[in-house]
Amino acid sequence: MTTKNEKQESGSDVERVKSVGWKEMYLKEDWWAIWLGVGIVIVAYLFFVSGSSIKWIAVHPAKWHNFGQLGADFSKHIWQYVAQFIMWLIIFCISLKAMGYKLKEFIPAFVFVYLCSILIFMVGAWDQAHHYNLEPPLLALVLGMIIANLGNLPRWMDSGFRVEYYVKTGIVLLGATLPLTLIVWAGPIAIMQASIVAIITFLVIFFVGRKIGLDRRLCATLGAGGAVCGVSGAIAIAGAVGAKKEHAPIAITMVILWAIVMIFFLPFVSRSLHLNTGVAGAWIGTSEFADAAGFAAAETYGNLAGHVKGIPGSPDAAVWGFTLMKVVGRDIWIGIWAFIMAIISTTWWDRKTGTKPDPKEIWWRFPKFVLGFFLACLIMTLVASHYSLADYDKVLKPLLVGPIKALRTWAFIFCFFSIGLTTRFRELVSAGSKPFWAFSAGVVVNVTLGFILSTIVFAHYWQNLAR
Amino acid sequence: MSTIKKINILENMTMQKISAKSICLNCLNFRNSPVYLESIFKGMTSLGSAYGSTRKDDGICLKNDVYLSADDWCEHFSRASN
Repeated sequence: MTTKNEKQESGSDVERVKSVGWKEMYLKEDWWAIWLGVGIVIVAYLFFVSGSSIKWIAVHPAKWHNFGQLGADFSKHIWQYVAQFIMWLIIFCISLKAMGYKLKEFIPAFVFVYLCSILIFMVGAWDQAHHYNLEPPLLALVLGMIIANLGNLPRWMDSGFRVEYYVKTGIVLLGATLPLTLIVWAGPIAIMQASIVAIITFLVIFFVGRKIGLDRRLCATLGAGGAVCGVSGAIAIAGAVGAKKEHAPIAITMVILWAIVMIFFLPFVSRSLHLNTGVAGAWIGTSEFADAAGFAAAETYGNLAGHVKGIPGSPDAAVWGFTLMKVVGRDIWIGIWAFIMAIISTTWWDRKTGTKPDPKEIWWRFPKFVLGFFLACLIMTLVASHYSLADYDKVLKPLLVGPIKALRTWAFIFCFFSIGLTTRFRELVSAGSKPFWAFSAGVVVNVTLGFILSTIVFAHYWQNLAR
Repeated sequence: MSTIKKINILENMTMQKISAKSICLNCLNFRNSPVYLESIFKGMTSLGSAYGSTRKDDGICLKNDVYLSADDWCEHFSRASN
């Protein structure tokens, strides 16, 4: 008698999905992140031009000093929290249903995520939180990891812990709070810095891996995980080069372990050196291995500005620096990396499967949520262009940009908490020492080079992001 | 150019001539549903997802034990019934 796992391994009871093609517009989370994020921006704008605001539903805990204040604030806004929960639930249910999720699994899991997110948000709003390092991103991550590794949540609840979907939605919403002029000004520098580091890191991992005897397809998969775009990069390159089935999980393990380490390490070193928030954000964007993990680190450090003495810059600058470097500088090139690696593997490597890659591959592998990020940025820049700086701060910020930013923060907390909840160390595959050393060599080069470029070579750009 | 490289290039050209329908996507041994991939690749959902655009239609070949593009092809192709 075969077990369920054995059946799955043999493929006897699992489906094979036909080519997605343009159907990805409703089957892939990248597109849904666009519909959700840009949809929220448009609805917020429509409310704004009609003399209203979505501020009511974008509620979040206010700063508090004692439990009395906290309780009073929460009971005063409880129906706003209920309404916001229903809003998230409806839009996530529609999209996840379209993608094929079971709503009977998602709904209870999301109730859990939302309730815990309120608690995390509340702790983060405590006026003493910074003294105890209770930053919401780190708190969410650690709480999630404790529950996942010491608790016993049923596996089906993973339907509600969609890290990538939440972070992509958050990134699209972030586009609405990032000036287009900033992308035009610092984008080319971000691309240059990210390209230098990505190419060198990839080559280091690849050749160290080859030197110690690893299969070149595993080296390429590890290299993409460390240099390009974390798990997404590793998976895309694994598919492009026809990696062995066990290669992708090895790369995933490496990315997760080092990404978790860097969530704590990069803000810690930045804080010790009192780095400017924009500079630290750029460094994190260069040297973190995944979008979600990087946002956790960048938000953590950005939140210290104004609360911890000696940290220059604004909270926004850390997130902006990170976004420019990671999303604009690294993520958007993943299709080109996959295309080049597919050519190399089918032309020069001893590969028994494969066809000559099609340049269309670059588009199909493009992380589409980035389009939503740019679109949201463009919409808000056009709206803001009709206002003076004084009016922007007085009118646009509290009624339009502020509420969108609050919803973005919610999406990120869902994401950070979900990272913790899905990081089960006992389930990660044993990667072996050789992949570890090859990947770690890349980490050392990546972090060092990212630090030098962010704090010395291009420091001028990153220090001036908030201006 | 070495002989091995020439052979590889010729093999690639041959593969392109093969009917577009004889690709992994239509093969009995190919598995690419997001649910399946997330169950096989442990840890994938922690900082990634099988529902992202960057994966395209990639999946696992049960015959060769590799993870590859749905547009690939090999001599073991066996047409799926559906």
